[in-house]
Amino acid sequence: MSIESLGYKEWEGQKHGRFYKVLSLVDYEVRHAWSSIWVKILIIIAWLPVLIIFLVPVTEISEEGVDRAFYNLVSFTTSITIWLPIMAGLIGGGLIANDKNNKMFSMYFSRPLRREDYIAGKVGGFAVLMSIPTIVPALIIYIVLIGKSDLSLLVFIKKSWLLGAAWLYFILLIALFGSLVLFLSSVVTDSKYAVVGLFTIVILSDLIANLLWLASDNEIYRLGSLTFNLENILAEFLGIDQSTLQLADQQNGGVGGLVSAWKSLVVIVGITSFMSVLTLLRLLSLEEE
Amino acid sequence: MVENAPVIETFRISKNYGLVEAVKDLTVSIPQGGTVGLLGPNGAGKSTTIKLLLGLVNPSLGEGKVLGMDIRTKGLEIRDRVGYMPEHDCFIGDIDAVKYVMHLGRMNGMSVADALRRAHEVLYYVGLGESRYRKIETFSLGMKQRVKLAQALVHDPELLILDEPTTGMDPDGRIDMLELIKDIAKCEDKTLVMCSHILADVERVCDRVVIMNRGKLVRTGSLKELVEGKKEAIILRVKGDSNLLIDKFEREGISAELRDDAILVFAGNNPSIKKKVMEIMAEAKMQLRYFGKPTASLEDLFLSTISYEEEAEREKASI
Repeated sequence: MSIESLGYKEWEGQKHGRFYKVLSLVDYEVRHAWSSIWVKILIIIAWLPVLIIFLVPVTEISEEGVDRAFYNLVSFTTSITIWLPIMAGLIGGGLIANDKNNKMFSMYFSRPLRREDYIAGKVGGFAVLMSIPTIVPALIIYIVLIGKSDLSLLVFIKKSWLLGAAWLYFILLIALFGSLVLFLSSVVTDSKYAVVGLFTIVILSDLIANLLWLASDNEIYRLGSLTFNLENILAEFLGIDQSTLQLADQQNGGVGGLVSAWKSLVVIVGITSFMSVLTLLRLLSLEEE
Repeated sequence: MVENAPVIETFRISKNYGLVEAVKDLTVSIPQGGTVGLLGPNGAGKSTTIKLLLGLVNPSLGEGKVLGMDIRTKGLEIRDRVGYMPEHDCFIGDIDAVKYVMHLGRMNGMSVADALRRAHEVLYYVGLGESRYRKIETFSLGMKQRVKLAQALVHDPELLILDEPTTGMDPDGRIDMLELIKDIAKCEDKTLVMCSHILADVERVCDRVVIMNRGKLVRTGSLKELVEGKKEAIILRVKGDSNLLIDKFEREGISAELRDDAILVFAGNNPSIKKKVMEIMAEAKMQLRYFGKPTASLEDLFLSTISYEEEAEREKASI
């Protein structure tokens, strides 16, 4: 026994319920991920459009040119689509894999912690971290637009659906990449493999879908590409004129017919749901050690 | 918990994994207070028994209660009041000991302030006061064992299950760890279950033992009774009806009784007792499997128990 020890002391205190434990796990995951320099760098990069908005004057934009002002929000939403898989891999890759590798399951599950609560804590931690470079800056961009422009507040209220659409799109992105990366994280013990797996899925789905589409001239194959589906949904959500995309597509030798965004939405929601169920089943069946 | 109720009570619990019977017909009762040694060779079913007691897996058959709660239905409530120190390393290496213990305290439902205060307290208690802000990955094996004990104590559990607590520790560290275990056991409301391969450690801190082999309970009782109480006796194991032999001994004026699976013959100061016993056995035409003094150390007890069990299993298999 150590020299400074005064013997064993008992503890009497209040214990909180399961919701508190989930929140504790979320809090821990956020703090732990934040300690990584790479996560910080990626989040700063993702926040760059926000910094640019601060610097660019928007006060001279007239009411007619209001869409151009909101273009900042749209372009931010589009640019983040590129960063999100990288961030998802970096943040989510180790969430479960590290616990497996460190044999932390026996520590967690020898405590009064349900597996469902563990999963909720991990998903919650991932969602909070992913909202830092997406949902939060989108809101800030919107507020900055209000603050820096001389447009009436009514215009902003009228255009607030854009913020809602951006958020909805981000939620869809976070759910999709979250379900993919958490599943991969639950089947490997090294987070690197989960990251590589996620990129492979994104790139391969794009490659195979485009090859099949080009070979058959059948638009339906494009639904196999994750990036195409996301772009398609984004265009629908943010009201981007798809005829220009169609034209560009024809100019590039494509057939120019676009697949309905709702079909893309069904594919993305389907993949997310399927992967979520797989992850859940996988985690519920994992042994403690 | 009901006053004076056993802390652990199982009735004929079995756990099967497919065709493998990890635990068979285990019936034990462990009273409150003190330290119990859970012994057995690899594959004896100790780990499965721990999982059953923690309510992590449900028994295939039988019933069990820990701290008065059903292991089938009250797993979470049981784990709330039990501290578990696993055998293997399970750490988040890149955080310091305080954060680690605090995080696990919060997983028990402790508030941030409580978990932080308690983490400092238990780390001081286990002798890591000076190193509590160091990253766990820089710790020695012995220090890691202490962190594992600290996390098991953070929520002040009533029952503490320690799986190989002295593994990998140097002699000084081992003695320190055993002293800590003895100190915790002094708390009246605490019961400790210690799994260990180091029988000297068990002998040093435990007052009761449960010996398992091939998923079955082979011996249980007070260590004193098992190890020391039978020195002036002869222990016999025979093939056939032991009760018949006991009757024959009694008729010849030799006091004998059945203990577990063996016959205990009380020799007293009679030097010719061995000869007499052998004569009675020859007359009864009973095959002798074991003849000797009752074991005088836990190691002897363990080895004789396990080797007898192994032999019996081999014999059964050959039939």
